[in-house]
Amino acid sequence: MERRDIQVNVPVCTGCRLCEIACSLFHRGAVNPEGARVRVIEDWARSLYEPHICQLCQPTLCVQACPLEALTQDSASGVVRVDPDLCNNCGACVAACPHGAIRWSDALGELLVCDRCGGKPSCVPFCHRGALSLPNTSEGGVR
Amino acid sequence: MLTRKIAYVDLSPDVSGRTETVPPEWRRRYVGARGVNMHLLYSRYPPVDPLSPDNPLIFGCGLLTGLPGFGSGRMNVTAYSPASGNLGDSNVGGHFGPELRFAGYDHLVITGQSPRPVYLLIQDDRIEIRDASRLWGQTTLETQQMLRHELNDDRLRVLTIGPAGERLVRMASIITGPKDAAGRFGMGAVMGSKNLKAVAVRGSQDLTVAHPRELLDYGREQLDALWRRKWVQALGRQGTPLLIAPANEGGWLLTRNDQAGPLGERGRSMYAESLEPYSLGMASCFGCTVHCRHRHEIKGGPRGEGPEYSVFGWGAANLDVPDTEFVIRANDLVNAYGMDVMDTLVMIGFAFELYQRGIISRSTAGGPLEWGDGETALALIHQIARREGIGDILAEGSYALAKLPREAGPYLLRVKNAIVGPAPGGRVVKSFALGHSVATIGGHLHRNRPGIDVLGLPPQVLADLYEGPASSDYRSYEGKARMVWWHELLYAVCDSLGFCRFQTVFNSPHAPQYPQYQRLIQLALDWDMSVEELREAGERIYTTERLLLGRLGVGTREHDTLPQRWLEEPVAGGPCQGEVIDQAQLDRFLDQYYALHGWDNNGQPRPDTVKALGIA
Repeated sequence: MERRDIQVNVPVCTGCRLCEIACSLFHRGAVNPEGARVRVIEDWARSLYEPHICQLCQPTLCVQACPLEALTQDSASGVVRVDPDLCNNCGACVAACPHGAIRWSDALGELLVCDRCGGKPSCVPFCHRGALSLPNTSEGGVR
Repeated sequence: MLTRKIAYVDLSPDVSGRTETVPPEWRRRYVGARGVNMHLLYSRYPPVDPLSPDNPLIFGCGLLTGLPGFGSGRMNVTAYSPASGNLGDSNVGGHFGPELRFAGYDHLVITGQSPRPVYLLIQDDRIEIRDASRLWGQTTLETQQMLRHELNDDRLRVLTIGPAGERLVRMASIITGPKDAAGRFGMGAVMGSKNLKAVAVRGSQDLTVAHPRELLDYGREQLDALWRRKWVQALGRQGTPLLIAPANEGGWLLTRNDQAGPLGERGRSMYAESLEPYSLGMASCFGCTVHCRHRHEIKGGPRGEGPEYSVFGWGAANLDVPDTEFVIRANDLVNAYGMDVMDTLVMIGFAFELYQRGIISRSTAGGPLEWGDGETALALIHQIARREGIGDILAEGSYALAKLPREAGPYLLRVKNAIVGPAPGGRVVKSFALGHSVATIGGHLHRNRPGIDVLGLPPQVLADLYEGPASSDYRSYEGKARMVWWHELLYAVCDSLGFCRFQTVFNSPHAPQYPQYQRLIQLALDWDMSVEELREAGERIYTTERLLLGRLGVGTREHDTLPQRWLEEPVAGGPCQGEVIDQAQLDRFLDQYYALHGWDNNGQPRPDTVKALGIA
């Protein structure tokens, strides 16, 4: 799988959360924003909706922070993989991520991070405003 | 998705709650949200004093709320209305409805009365009644922020009342987020009467569907098609204020409580473009690709969301204050206190007219009430919410008439005791007016408004859509009974699915409707519901509402009427000067309309119709 950068443009996000719907439908076969790997946080005081999604950083601060080597980064795609058998929810990766894009769900007992849906992100096509876009590909710029 | 629950909560001391699976046949026959709420009300709760503990406050999510679809963030709040004394039902967007579904519930039925302020906390299957004394008195947004902070959960979704609901202001709303409102018919006063400040919910359960990948693909395809539409692009750029220009220039956005003509050139100062200096971008409800709500800022002031066309119409035009900054301030104030923008602004215009006519004195009014005085209007919003001075009378809505001189009556424009006010189009757009006469919640546009009637569409387009002829001239009465009836069925289904009015045949004849709904239901539930079955569900829901009106004593022909002003006073100026509703035409409309529904000539559902629809 090749690298799929997703560009985030906060001011145009309207908070519709279609990205969360698409993500959870793809990964879980059900709509459940709690299990989505992209997450929109509202800031009513600033009147902003902020999508948070993995930016495939290098160096990968979450991977480096993990004391149990439960996280690894795929060299080609940049996607961070989680080994649920090794993860003990210590929270180090969550604290280390500068994008608020890796998250432990207490309710589901899962560490959640975007895996780009295996190369074809489900969320981006639902984002008509272009708050999430694929800037380096023919199909994905701001529409 | 295949099994959904209703939670029954009684707030009175020592009464325990229970849950029940929504009977599958209810979902198939009444769809969800509004439909199932109405069935619950009709089959289990006889009419009571709306402010008494026995009035059930019913929250209902749609069959497809929360799924990819056509604005699926919506739900209905239903109860007997303290604003009209009749049927109350209010549709609300935002994010609460989907969250309630993620917690496992489709409906909440709240009865009883707590001896002290409480809020309801729903976290997945767990439902708790909690102390809300520190929240009492807080505005709608403060309440939500306090609950998020206390529960350390920035994803908590809250429906709350503000100070107006606590004081039983009859037009009190229920708010979620910065401005999404179950605004109409006093649902916030029902909450206040129960000492229920808020309902907070957080869910983490899967909303499972029958065909997830196909639903993802179909949803994407449909939303892409929607997004390409010009009317969607316009709505997503300007929001509902885009309607101001055509309404003003068409001559059907009138002023001064419908006494005067349109604003004309002066109205240009409040066209949609006037919001641009204040707009930070758009916002949307859950799962919506239209994004019709502005995020705004008055320089140096707090940020917020809105305003909508309604505040421009019932506020700026009605009060003769064509000033966008006034509209934003009024919007934010009314929502902070938790009141319905329409009813609140109508009551203010009503007070202005009473003062103009000398029916109330300067001392009763607490000072002069002059058309065009925005500052006084804003002061009255505070007074109504706090029940201070004349605000205490105006807070009674329709019931204020009992406290005012007898001659005040005709100037409060009502249908079935529900406030209509100077509803845009009232005497001019005949389908809008006639729709008000028969709407099952009293005069309100969202039961049946054929929004596309003002587009002047080719007659063939209308004939194909409505399966019968209808005039393209919005001032004509021809075919308007069929039009109103057709929209009533569609909107009943749209609401009951949990979808948005703006994404069905309201703004465009080509918007999604039954065939798209049918496909989504198939992908989500694996149900084969034909278009005919869906339309029949719409008829069942609407006829159930009509039967409820019958029980309330307002379900017959004599109650299907319009404000005296619309029947007797022609429009005073502008392009539609002279337009008025003709009583003989209204009678002819009712004859045709009742027949289409299968109701008798007095407007009561015929026994064979009730039997065929299986309403019990």
